[in-house]
Amino acid sequence: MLLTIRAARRLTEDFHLLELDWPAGMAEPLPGQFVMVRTREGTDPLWRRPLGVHDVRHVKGAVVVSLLFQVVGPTTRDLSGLAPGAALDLLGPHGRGFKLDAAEHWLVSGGRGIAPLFYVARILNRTGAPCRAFLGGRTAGHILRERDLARLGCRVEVATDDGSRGRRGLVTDLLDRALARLSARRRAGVMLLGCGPHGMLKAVAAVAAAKGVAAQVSVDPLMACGRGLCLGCTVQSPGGYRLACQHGPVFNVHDLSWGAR
Amino acid sequence: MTPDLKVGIGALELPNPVMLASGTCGYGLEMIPHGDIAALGAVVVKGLSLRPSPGNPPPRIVETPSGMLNSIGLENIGLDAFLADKLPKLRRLGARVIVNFYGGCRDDYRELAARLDGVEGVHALEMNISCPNVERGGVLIGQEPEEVHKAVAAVRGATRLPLLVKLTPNVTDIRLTARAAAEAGADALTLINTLQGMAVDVESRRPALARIVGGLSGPAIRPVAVRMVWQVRQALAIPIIGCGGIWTARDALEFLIAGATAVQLGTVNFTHPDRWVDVLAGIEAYLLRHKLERVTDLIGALEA
Repeated sequence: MLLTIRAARRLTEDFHLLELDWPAGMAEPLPGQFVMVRTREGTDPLWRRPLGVHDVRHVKGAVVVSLLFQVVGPTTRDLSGLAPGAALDLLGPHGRGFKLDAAEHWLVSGGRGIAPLFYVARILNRTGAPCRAFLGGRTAGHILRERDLARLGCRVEVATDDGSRGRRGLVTDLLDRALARLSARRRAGVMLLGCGPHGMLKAVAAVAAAKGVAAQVSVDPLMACGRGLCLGCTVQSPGGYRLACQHGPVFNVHDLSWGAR
Repeated sequence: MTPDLKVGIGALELPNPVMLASGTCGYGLEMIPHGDIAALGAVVVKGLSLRPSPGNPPPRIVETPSGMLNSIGLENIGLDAFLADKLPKLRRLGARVIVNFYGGCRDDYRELAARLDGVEGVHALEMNISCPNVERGGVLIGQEPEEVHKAVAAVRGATRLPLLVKLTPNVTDIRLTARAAAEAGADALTLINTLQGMAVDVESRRPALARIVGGLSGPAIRPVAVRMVWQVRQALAIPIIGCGGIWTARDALEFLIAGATAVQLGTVNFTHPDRWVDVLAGIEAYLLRHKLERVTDLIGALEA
């Protein structure tokens, strides 16, 4: 399906945002779902690339879907050069997203992990449900949408590896301290929603276990098809293998085995 | 005048020569959103074993130049679940179904073939003796002409269905295993399965795949596949189904001209799940442009 770019902007050095006109015939994405995009004819790169849906807005009856990405390879480099009016070949939405049924939701993001979490903040803002956001990144330029999250009613805390923005250190340490300050009763109502590098997600799982709070994470293994055809994006769960594209990409932390890479 | 796309593979008559390859289209039902699967020549479902198989540990795939490596390990739901949950739907849709199957030993192959014989809605069998990922059976059978003969003969004795045998390219001379399969009673040969390959993550110095070695597919292997189709065509009269890196109608035509009676689209389904519709249309357009009445006029038409 060819979609039209409605707006394109650079957020920071490496990070970009695209807004797409979402066709009326396509299912509207749910928070945590992803799309598969390609930018080139030919066979290099061979696969489409999965991108988490960053935001969905309704503008004068039309659906506008945003994608946030970091330039890491040929496809994202091509994406960063797209201008309004250009077409993007996209399939989706795919996968199972976040379940938003807790008393309060805390978003925990590492770098581009903010991509699918921002849409959650949008939904929570609509329903008026409480939301906090913990943003981590290597450096200030990797902290994204901080002010926009605040505008959506999120209380935002930031940590960077180099201390160039927020606290110096790990985002999961901020999270751990914030949870420690809560009463046990309030903690029981918290749901963590994490997205970021594997090591960060593993730390989120550890904090969740230590503090006795529920958590869902969005994972990002290599995917060829995104639709259950290739059986390549397998993740380990205590009950056996699961496909990230179909059973996920969002999983309850207890449904993933954290020992394996 | 519309060109005639019908092809015959032994007793199996197909409305056109385009199939979807095993392991790249699920159990066929997954492709329904992308086109009318009854309009395909046939759909070759994910390789089935007697019992469900969980497949190999991750990571299972990695992208390579114009290709990909996989070590899925033949993950599948097992014969019983396929017959109960998938086949009735495929039958209702009117799809021509070729069941790919594999075993760990000759008795497994025989039992699978016997249980699929005469099942309504199964139009043919494709015997996988070429998967490089399963330690028992698999590649060991597929690389030795004598073993190929024994295994195919065992299956031949257990089924009256048209029997395709999918061969591994990981041999010195594909004609030897091809001849063994043909002499043992195969009705057609599917050429080729994946080429063994390997990729390394240089930063971590770890293999890209958990199983280290995997099977290479995609356009990177197409010239190898076309060469093997042509070689076997020269040596044997048995129908060949060409498979390996077909991305466009032009690629499919290459296989037909080299001697394939039909083709299978595989890896392309991951990126372009509706590409078979374009390939079919492209073959038809080619026949019109070259004023050919039948696609069979093209098979083996290489001017060498």
